[in-house]
Amino acid sequence: MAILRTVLDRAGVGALGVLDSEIDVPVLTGAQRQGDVIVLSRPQLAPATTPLPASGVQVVRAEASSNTHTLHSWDGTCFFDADPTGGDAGLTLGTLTVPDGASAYLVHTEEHGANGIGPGTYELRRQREFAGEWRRVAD
Amino acid sequence: MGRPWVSYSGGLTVGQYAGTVALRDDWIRIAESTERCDRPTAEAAVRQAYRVAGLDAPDVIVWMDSPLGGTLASVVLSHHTAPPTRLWAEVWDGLWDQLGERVGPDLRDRLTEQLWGQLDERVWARLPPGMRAQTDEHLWRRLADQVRARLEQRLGDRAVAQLWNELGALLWEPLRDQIEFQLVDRPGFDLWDRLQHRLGEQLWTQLEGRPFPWEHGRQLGPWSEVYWLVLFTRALDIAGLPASPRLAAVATAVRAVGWWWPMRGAAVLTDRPTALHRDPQGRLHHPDGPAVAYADGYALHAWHGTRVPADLVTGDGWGPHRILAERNAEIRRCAIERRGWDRFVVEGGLRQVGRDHRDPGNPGQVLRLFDLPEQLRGLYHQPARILVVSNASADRDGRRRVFGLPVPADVPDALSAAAATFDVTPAEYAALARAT
Repeated sequence: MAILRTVLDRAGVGALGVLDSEIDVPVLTGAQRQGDVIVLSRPQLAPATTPLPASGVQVVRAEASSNTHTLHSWDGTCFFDADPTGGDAGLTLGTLTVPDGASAYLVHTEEHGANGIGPGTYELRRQREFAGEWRRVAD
Repeated sequence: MGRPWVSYSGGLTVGQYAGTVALRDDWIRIAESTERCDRPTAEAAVRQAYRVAGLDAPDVIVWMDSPLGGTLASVVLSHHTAPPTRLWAEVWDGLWDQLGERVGPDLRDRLTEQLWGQLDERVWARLPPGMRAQTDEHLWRRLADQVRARLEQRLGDRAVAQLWNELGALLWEPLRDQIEFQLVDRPGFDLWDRLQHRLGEQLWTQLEGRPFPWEHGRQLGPWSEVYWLVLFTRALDIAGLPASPRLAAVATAVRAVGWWWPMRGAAVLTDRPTALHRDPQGRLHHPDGPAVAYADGYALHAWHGTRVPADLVTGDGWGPHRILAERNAEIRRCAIERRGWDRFVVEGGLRQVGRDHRDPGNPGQVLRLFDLPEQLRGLYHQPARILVVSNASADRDGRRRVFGLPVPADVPDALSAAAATFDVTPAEYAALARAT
């Protein structure tokens, strides 16, 4: 486990205004949500094979350049296979695999802070809304 | 089979691709500029564009501050006569009334003062009798045909079609969707179409024996021409053809001015907007004022790409009565978003479906589901309910944002609604360990 300030420093994200940067960011293996992105445990999925670069990876295309979700490895290298097709519902962002001994941090550059993710394989998804038909929530 | 002497035979090279992106981005910067025009430079560029096209440079140049002012000036310059005929006097009265209704008497008076302040007897004396003919045909439309013909001669129809597709893929979305379709104020420009309708075609036929000027003469400007300018310029270069001096001269003028109306003997030029705001998705948007503003006070208001009335995005915005009375569903939705769903569900008397449900992983916050009232049933194309949720973390300003997310009307309760927004089962959503 790390405190938020350390996570953000390593992710290259500046200090946050309102969040207490000394809080612990728990590393969890269950489902978590960060604003309009959800992390779902999916042990049945084939593990991801693309190593996360040291600089992390943006999991939501930068529609809003100042407001993005990025993934970073911690204590080892995690893997993330982006899914440009979006899967069946068009919401899937990709598959994340965190090896034993490592953790991953999902970092939001604005108000949402960071979520720690423990060993396992996960699906990351976007949120949608129903405006006559389902469409992705604009971040 | 490609022709060996031709530099394009399908497929842009890395350099051609990079050159296109660079020119595109340069023009996006120009199209979004809110700098004041350098007027002497702009006038010189416009005169040069006339000369290069083989036309006499205009004697009279009128400057206005907005496209609306420019439209007014171009109509007056093409139809006014000194002394005015009875018919023109009637037309002017009609214009005056329409403008007042459309933009209010203050802006109308400012526009007309600015225009007539530049049109004294001396100016009228310098205008040639046949000046009503607009010259954008010569400056631009025929030029476009010429460029296309040169390309087809050089590359053949099929390669040109392919080149168009390739360049279009790079240019269409950022230049047409994001600039022309977003920024050009069609409602403002259609003022004159409505006027024509109101006064009746007969009057216009009597006036000039020709169609309404809007039909045969039109404005040039960075927002409407940018796509074609970049496309033609790059296509000539990629085809290995020499640059067109006429194209370059028009491009230089379009760079230097906002909208402009070329006419024989006269040109109406307008300055750029003083402000232009978009949301992070690139849609025209300002939550608390004009999204596009001009020095004469003319302005456009927009909420995430939808044009809205000014009072919807100023001050407190629309109250619930005004919102429910609005007939346009899109504008109504904008007004509700501006007010905030959390306020509107209370003020609009929306009926809650079931009870508050704790928001999984988001301690202290709840999920609430509401039915839309009868008057708002048409808000979306399909029957919907509204899920009201709170952010798990506060914004930088310390406030916790509350969202209203539409969900299908057959979603039974708040937890199922939240689960549906992520396409997971209610059980999986209920088990969320942490939300931030």
